[in-house]
Amino acid sequence: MPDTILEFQKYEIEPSFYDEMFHGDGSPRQHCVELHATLSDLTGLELSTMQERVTRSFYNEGITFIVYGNEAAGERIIPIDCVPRVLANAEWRHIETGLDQRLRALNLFLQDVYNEARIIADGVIPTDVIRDCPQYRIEMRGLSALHGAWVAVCGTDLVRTNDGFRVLEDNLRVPSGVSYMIATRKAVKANLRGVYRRSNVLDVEHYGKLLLSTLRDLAPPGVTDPTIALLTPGVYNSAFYEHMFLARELDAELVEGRDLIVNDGYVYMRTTSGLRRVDVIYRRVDDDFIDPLVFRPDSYLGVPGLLHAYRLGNVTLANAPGTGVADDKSVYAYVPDIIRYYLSEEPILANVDTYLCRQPEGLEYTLDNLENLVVKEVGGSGGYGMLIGPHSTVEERQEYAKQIQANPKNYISQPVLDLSRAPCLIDDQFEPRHVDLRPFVLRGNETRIVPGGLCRIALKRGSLVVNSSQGGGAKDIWVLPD
Amino acid sequence: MLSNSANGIYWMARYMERASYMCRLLHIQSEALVDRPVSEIQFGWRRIYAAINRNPLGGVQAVGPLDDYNLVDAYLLTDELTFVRDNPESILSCLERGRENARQIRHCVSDQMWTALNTEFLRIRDVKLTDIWLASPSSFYEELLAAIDRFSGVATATMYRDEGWHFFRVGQFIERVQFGCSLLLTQKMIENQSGELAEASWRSLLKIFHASGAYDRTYSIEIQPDLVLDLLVTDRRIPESLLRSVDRTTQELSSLGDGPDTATSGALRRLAGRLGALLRYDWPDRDDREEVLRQVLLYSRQLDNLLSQTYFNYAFQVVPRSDIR
Amino acid sequence: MTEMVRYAIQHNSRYQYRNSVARSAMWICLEPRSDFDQNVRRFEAITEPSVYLSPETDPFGNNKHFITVNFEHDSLVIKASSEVDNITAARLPTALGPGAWEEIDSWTNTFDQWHYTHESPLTIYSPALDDFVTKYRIGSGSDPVESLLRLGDTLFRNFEYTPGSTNAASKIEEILETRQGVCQDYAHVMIAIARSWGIPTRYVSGYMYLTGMHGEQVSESATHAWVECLLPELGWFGFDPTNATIADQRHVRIAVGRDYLDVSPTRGILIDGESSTLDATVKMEVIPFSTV
Repeated sequence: MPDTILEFQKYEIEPSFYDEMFHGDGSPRQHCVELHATLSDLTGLELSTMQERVTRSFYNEGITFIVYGNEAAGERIIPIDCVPRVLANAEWRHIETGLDQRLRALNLFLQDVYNEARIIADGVIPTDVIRDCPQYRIEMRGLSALHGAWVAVCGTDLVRTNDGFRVLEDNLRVPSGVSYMIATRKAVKANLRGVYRRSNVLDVEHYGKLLLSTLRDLAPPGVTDPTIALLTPGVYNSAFYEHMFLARELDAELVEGRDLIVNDGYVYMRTTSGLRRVDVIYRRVDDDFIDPLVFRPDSYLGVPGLLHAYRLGNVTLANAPGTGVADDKSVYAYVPDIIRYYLSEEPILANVDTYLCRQPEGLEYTLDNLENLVVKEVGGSGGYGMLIGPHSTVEERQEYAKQIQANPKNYISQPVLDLSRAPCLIDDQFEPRHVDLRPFVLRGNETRIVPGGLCRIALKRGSLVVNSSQGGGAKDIWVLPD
Repeated sequence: MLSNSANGIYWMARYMERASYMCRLLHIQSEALVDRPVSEIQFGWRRIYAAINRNPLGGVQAVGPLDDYNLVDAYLLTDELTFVRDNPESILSCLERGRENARQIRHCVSDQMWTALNTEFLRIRDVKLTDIWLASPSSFYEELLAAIDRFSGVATATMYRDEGWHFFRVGQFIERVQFGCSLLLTQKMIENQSGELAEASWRSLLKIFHASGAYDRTYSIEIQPDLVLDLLVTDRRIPESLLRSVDRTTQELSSLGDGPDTATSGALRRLAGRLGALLRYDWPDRDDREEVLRQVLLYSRQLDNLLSQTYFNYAFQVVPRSDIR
Repeated sequence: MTEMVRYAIQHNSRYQYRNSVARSAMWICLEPRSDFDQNVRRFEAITEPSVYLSPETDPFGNNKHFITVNFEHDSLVIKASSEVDNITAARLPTALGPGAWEEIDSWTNTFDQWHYTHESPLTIYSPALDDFVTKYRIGSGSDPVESLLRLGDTLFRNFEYTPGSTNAASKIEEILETRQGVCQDYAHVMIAIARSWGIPTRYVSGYMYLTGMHGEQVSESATHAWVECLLPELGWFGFDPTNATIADQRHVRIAVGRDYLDVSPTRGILIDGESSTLDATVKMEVIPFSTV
């Protein structure tokens, strides 16, 4: 390995992709000057040592996950790139106000579709888009969430193109990744101490405190000092580290379904001194598995009667069941309309153009342009079941077209986005890789956001898939002060 | 504290303690393989298997009658007791089970404990016996033992003294009573054996209990089995003597709350008291010692059972009211 | 003038577990609805062992109770008793006014009727059902009421009521195959077909008072199931395909839902327990009352 200065000379800038660090002429963007100068002074050996330290710290901390369907491969860590992505304060303000607006609107939408459904009656969204969605839970009809916070914890995926930021996906069920954000921050700042201090990077490590405030906001009425528990599917879940981490941050008990019982319409946990009532459950178990007597009967992860206690208002579930209807990919297409409808505001963050195959014109357009589109299943996530047109073969497209025609409702398509790129340390060289951005937004009786998020990387050269289950990596995001 | 968390801490402690005993036994065995007579080596294997109440690889005959013993087996037996995951009592299995429990409750223990345990597990997870066999198995066990001791030390130095701590200690002490008692019972195997073998086995037993120096100082260089037993059972100055472990168990239990059902928690405390009294007042001078040790082992198992019934797995006999907070 | 019948109903269910069960949890759906054509004067339910019955109104407006038995037990008895006034009037016109189908069509895909006009797990419109419909020339005629009566009649004539031939959660494939079923199956088939015509249709679980020659109750097990369709002029109107009749004063409604799964009288889960046997008895009596 060359112990020489690793310069950015060979770093390739392509005008069709926004580069997070450089202008088109190769000069660093103003908010990246400090970091760029620091990186330019480091040797290849220093950088790769740093990278190795970061990786090792993740293993020692046990920040690992298991890939479903590949359990034999054992525990893996998400590859962390030690080069941070820097955002100017103005850029962040724009994102922050946009996310706040979006989450407020989506919560109003959830309150509405589970009650009067005015938005349907007013013809803004077709009935079938909502009622065909498997995530629409009729069990939630007639219920209201405290402070309207159906979604208390949200992790929105944003991408940047040359036209600016766009929302790619709203994750409103059990979004994960926030522990990676914090662990990455800890590891990266320990290795880039000087420039971190000089840049006055805004803090993200107080996320746990904000989450605690949010959950306390949502305590059932009359409960002033709520007992909070974090419900996990257990140690074999790929996000278990995060559940453990957050339980500690919240000073909450980390419970599994077997630790909880429902009695007299209240929820209790089994403690060494007897049963203790639980007031707020931050649940990281999917809707389907929280209550075998309401949702999937074969589930052993949940608590029989949990929904009953929830419906009586004796326990809060965060997020509320049924929020998946608002991050369904068909509903996604209507979010700009949802914002206009409930808030009478123009959306601050743009959507990605979306064609619904459930609509004849959307289906036709999709089938005619498969090679230029990304096609997704409406209920899919994690990057599974997608077709990326330009990267597919004729056979794959033909096969996929058949699937679409068999069940058009299940698909949407979007243009292939020119995701922005950021410099990453790949094989001891700086190379551009496509990235996205997942900030975490909290909503109790107010919106709370830490400045930053998880920056996901498509590690394969040219790839646009950033999901960690598909070999994506992550890096730190530095938001600079004004 | 959540019952399952307390249970996890308790078992983490027990598995780590068990790993420690296994490590000590295999360390002695690895040294014996270098220059000790075959009979002594064979006794060593039998002692380990008897202590973990398990048949060795290939059945009892592998370490059966003295003359059947085959040195070639040493490699396989060492492997089975150290690295083989199918053996739930192998050192690696103990560490793995300790870590699995730790993983579930690491928000209840200190960061340093988790790191100490996780780092050591990751270090030995991919080690193969071939990697250490020709070089120096005994230094491998020394290092491993040091790491396990470090875990225990880090726990003492960093763990918050809440309920979790007391369950951690109870786990350590109950495992010591059970494993220690099983080891003492295995000495029965050398009855009617030659003086040299008996002497060596009592010596190694003292070593396992960290009591060699204490014995020499208290008594003499000469081994007298009854005196060794007295020391290991009733001398509270020996860190892992049965009486000391029992007394510490009682002490930790008294730091714990009553649990939801005072009847079972009362039974738990009475049993601990009875166990202490048995060792303190009823330890016979000569005869019936085996009988008493068996009684101790039985009580210690009941102790584990009652602990579970009191704190971890109690029945909801008392229907809670919604005003329970 | 509306004639009123008052019933006293005693519904006892006994679960006997093969071995004792550490804990159990159960939904109980036994409290009759108080709505347009009936009035519940009294409802009481107790369990043995005795536990608290926690009430809840479900999304379909039914009154359910949730219980948990959080200690070891080897049987569970639920005793529900109610007193219900049935004020159903016989009021079915032979035909609805012109434009009835159009009005129904306008409800079919509405937000509120969606779940009553689309498939649910036990009312799937399968190819086998399509064959059945074709074979018996079941179709929607010029009038919805007439069509529904004919549909109920077709089921009545072509299925054989055979207790024990199907179980609670049987799919309609089974009755189509064997032509034998119980009231649940009749109801599920009728629901699937009526919904395919666009008529909002729901499953009704309830009791039916069966009388012999002298007006005495003849059946010990009076739990029953039928359907309700939303019709212009009439609102929700009951059809009982098992008996080729409309719902009348013999029918007492407990609960409505998309299919049986929404309204099963009991629905529970055993923790650390194996199977159980259920033994249920229903006593239904007409009780005299002084006319107001």
